[in-house]
This record gives sequence, C-alpha cells and structure tokens, in this order.
Amino acid sequence: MRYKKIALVLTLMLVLGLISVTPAITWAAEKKYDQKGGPVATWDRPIEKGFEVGEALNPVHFMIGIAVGVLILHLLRSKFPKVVPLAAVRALTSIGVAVIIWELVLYLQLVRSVFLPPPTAVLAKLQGHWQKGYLQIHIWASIKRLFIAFFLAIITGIPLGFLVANFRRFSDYIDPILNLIRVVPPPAWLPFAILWFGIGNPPSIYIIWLGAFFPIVLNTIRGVKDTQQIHVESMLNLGGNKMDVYSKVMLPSAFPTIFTGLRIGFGIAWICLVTAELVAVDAGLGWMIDDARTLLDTPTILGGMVMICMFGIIFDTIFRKTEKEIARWQ
Amino acid sequence: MGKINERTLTSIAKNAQNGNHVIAIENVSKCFFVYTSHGEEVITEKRRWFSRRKPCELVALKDVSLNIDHGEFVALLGPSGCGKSTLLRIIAGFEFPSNGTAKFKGEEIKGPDPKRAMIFQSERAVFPWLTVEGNIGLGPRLQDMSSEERKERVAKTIELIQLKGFEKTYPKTLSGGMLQRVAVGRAIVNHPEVLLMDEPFGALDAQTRHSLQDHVVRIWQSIDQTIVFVTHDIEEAAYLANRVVVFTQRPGQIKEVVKIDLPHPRKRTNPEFIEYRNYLADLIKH
Ligand SMILES: Nc1ncnc2c1ncn2[C@@H]1O[C@H](COP(=O)(O)OP(=O)(O)O)[C@@H](O)[C@H]1O
Ligand SMILES: [Mg+2]
Repeated sequence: MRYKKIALVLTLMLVLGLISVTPAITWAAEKKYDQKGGPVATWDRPIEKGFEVGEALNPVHFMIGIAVGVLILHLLRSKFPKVVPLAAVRALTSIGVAVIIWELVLYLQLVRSVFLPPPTAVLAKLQGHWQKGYLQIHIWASIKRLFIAFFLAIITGIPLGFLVANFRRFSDYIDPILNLIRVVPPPAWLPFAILWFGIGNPPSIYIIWLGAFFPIVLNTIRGVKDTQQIHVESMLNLGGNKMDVYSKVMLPSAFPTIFTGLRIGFGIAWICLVTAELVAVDAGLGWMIDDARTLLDTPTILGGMVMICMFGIIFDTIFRKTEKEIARWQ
Repeated sequence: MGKINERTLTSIAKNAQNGNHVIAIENVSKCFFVYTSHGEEVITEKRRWFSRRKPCELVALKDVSLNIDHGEFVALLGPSGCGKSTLLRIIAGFEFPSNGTAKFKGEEIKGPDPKRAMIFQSERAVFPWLTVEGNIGLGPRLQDMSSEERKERVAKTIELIQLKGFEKTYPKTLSGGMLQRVAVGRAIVNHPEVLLMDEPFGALDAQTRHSLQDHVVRIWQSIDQTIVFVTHDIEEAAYLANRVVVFTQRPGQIKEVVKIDLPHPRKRTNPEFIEYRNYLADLIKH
C-alpha cells in the first residue's frame, strides 16, 4: 500500500515538473536577450527601482524578544515536560543565543555591517522581497528546477541500478564509465552544459540531475545486490516470474537502501542547484544571491542563504520522516 | 486416525499399481566443480573446459533413485553435507541433476512450480516487508485468484497455522516458531501437491519443534498431502515419516529405505517407536 502512495507522490512530482517546465521552455524559445547578449530578468530588480524595505526592527527589541522567547520556551518545558521535547528546547536555545550574539556583535559595531549584515537587516530585506513578490519567484524557480532534475534522476537512476545489479555483463561494461564520471564534481560540467544546452533551465537541470543521479544509482545497485537469494527463490516457488522477482522482491527488499540514496542524492542536488544557478539562469535563489553580489547587497545575499538553509532543512525532514515510515517493517 | 491412514494407504496402493509416481528420481547424480584461484574458491555447476586450473570435483549426490507416491510422508535422513538439501532442491526445480532424471507426475522437472511448494531451512524466507496476511496471500495473488476466494483461503490458512490475530503483524515482531508457521501457511495456501521441507525446525527450541511437528502431521492428515521432509534428526524422522530414506556420507547415496508402520499420532515413549529410532541410529552410525 505504501508503495502506491510513493508512486502517487512521484507522479505528482512529474506533473508538477512538466507544468513548470513549460514556461521555461517557451522562455528559452523566445530567447529574451538584450543587446549585449545577456539574459534579461523578466522582473524589476528591487534595488535598481530603489524601493525601500520596511523599517528594520529595533536591534535592542529584537535581542530582548528572542531572549524572552527562549526563556518562555524553558518555562513551558518545566511546566509541561511531556509536551515540549528537551532536544527541541536545547536546539532552539542554541540557535537563539547564536542569533543574539550575531546581532550584538553588530550592534556594538565590533564588525562592520558591510561584512556581516545583522539579522534585523536580513529579516527586513526578506520581508520587503516577499511583499514585492520577488522572493517567491526565486524560491519557486529553484524548487521546480530541483524537482524536475530530481525526478529525472529517479527515473533514470533506479532502472539503471536494477540493470547493473542484475546483469553481470552489462555491469562490467557500464561500471567503469559510471566510476569515471562519478568522481567529477557536477559543477565542473557547467561550461559544457551551457555549450550543449544553451542558456536557461536545461544546463542547470543537467548539473542537478548529475548530482542526484550517482547516489541513487549506487544505492540501487547495492540494495538490489543485497537481495537475499532465499527471497528470490521463495518468489519463484510461489509461482512468480522474473518480473515478479524484480517488482515484488528486489524493489521492496532494496527500497530502504534506495531511499537512503534518494535522500543523499537530494542533498547533493540541492548543493548543485545553488552552484548551477550562479550562472546560466535568470531566476532562483542562487541567482538572487549572485545578483545581489554584483550590487554588494549583503542582506539579500544572507537572506538568500537563510532561505536555502530553511528549505534544505524542510526537505531533509520530509525525507527522514518518509524513510522512517517506509522502513516500518525493518 | 484409522480412516485417514486407510485412505492414504489405498491411494498409495492405487498409484503404485498404475506405476504413476508423483515424484520419480532415476539415477540422479549431482556434482559441483570447485576452482581455487588466488585462495578464492569458485564453485560452478559446469566444468570449465578451457580453464588452466584443475577443478576439485565435489559429488553431492551419486546414483540416487527414489519414487514417491501420492499421500506419502517421506523423510530424507542423513549426516550434514550428504546432499539431502541438494536432492530437495532438484525436486523443487532450483537445481538440475548432472546425470539422471527427476520427474514430477511423469514429466521432467524444468523449474520451480507452485505445485511443489518449498519450506526453507531458514525462517528468513518469509518476506519481511509483507505482513503475515500479505505473505500468505501472495501465492493466491500470483495465481490470479478472485479476491473473495483469496481472502477466504488466507483466513482458513491463518486459522490452520493458528496465527489468528497476527494478520496485520510484520515478521520482525514474530518469534522463530511463528515465522516458520507463516512459511508453512504460505506454502500450503496454494494447495500444492507436494510439500518440500528442508530442516524447517532445525533452529528452534525442542518444545516449539515438537509442537510444529504435530502441526505438520495434522496438516498432512487433514489435506491428504505428499510431503518430503529433510532432516538430520533421527527422532524427527521416525516421529513424522512413514518412509525414511537414509543417506550415506558424501557422496550421498541411499543406504536403506526404512518403512515405519506406526499410526499417527505417535508417542515418543512407545517401545516400537524407540525400536525404529534405534534402528535408524545404527544405520546412520555405520
Ligand atoms: N550451490 C552449491 N554450490 C556448491 N556446492 C554446493 C551447492 N549446494 C550444495 N553444495 C555442496 O554439496 C554438498 C551437499 O550439500 P547439501 O545438499 O546442502 O547437504 P545437506 O543438506 O545434506 O547438509 C555440500 O558439500 C555442499 O558444499
Ligand atoms: Mg541442508
């Protein structure tokens, strides 16, 4: 039953990917280049428009606020020790203290804010971008790119892993090539990716796909090879054919290992995503950071990093939770 | 007790008259070839004619002939490594004889078949990613049975192996004895014609083993099944089978076939039983 659910999620990802890739394709087809040949952003860069972000929070209030929040958390913990987990309290305390120190260092002007903008400035920037709709554009651009590439990595990686694990001759020929390509960090492909696929989504999707592909393939191979002979024989004995062995024995038996591959692959894809977006695209969190760099807009740079960090954590949590659910039988 | 035994005996007699054995093994031999290169052993079934290295020949079975009729409970008894499992795997269709023929109902065995259900030595053969119900229902599912019939059969089987209440449980939380019962249920749910069991209770404690042995006898009696049971435990063979095939040390050859004319259920304290057991023990020793 759970495999049906997973299949549903994968299909949804595909549909989402297909829908979101269409505007990207049309955009690439229209080739919106300016006279200098560079891609033109299809929206206003907020800083050029000179729009003012909302008033930043008072740093003192901000620090006191966080300190109070942490204290309240500890109070809650002592009142309801069963509801509030200790690990969460400690984690939030440590993050809260770090943020306070960060703000304090800048408030006392121990570091110049050009080198490290204070949290209040970052928050104000993020809020301003959000109101303008600027932030959402980039988040969405990154996520859809990631999903397409990740989906492609799944539908190419898992079948290839099955082939390599099951056919000795095939694996003897494919393995060396896989191992040669595997050791090249995916971003090194960027120049060729652009040469082959042009400007826009395709080269970055290629890079991200490459990043996610290898952990998925390798873990699929390992998982499938670890399938116990006795399970295969049981399936044949019960009247199953070769396909039944693949789909009803090898797949479920290898699934936890494959899923670990998916999680690792997703992590690497996320890293490749940001790297690939520094070039060759006109939207995405990586692009937002790079664009802000040219303007020395440090709060936006840091804001972009915060967003990347947040989404990374969200996706990783989802993966961990799903992994636990899937491996219930273990 | 009498009724069922009479019935099985008459059906044995009938089949014997027709010369129509369920399983017919004729002069079966099985050898493996062991090549050693760089300290690593490679075992193959075929001789590598172009290999520089000379293989060490490992004869697991030598000239074994055996006929098994419908309704029989045959035990294959012999010391460890004498080729009992190999013979059973040949009957199951996982391996093929190097020489001789193995036939099932007059036709050569070409591969695994749900009509010859195997219960493996290890309880790990149960699929850990399926619940008890899922494991037992898998066979019928593969046979394209209608879902109502399947549910009914699965429920009946679960009752027969006395695992009611554990339908939705995953194997990891079950004990070894329960797992082996699931394996038995998974095999019998398809109504196989022959049940092949490879030391299925070897790894269990004595008490569980005894209760599962009684279980197997009950199943054998209730659905009039042919069972081939591999064991190295003399008492187990004497307790269960009506024919015990005693093997020699490797290369496995049949030393003697002992008929055990005791009605089921048997008592381990019965003097006749003890006589049979001692006789088998003597055979194994010499
Ligand atoms: N697949 C195989 N490959 C190589 N050797 C095997 C294989 N199966 C069995 N043998 C060898 O054949 C002999 C008989 O094994 P087996 O039938 O398992 O004995 P038993 O079940 O009576 O203990 C053993 O020496 C074993 O090493
Ligand atoms: Mg054995």
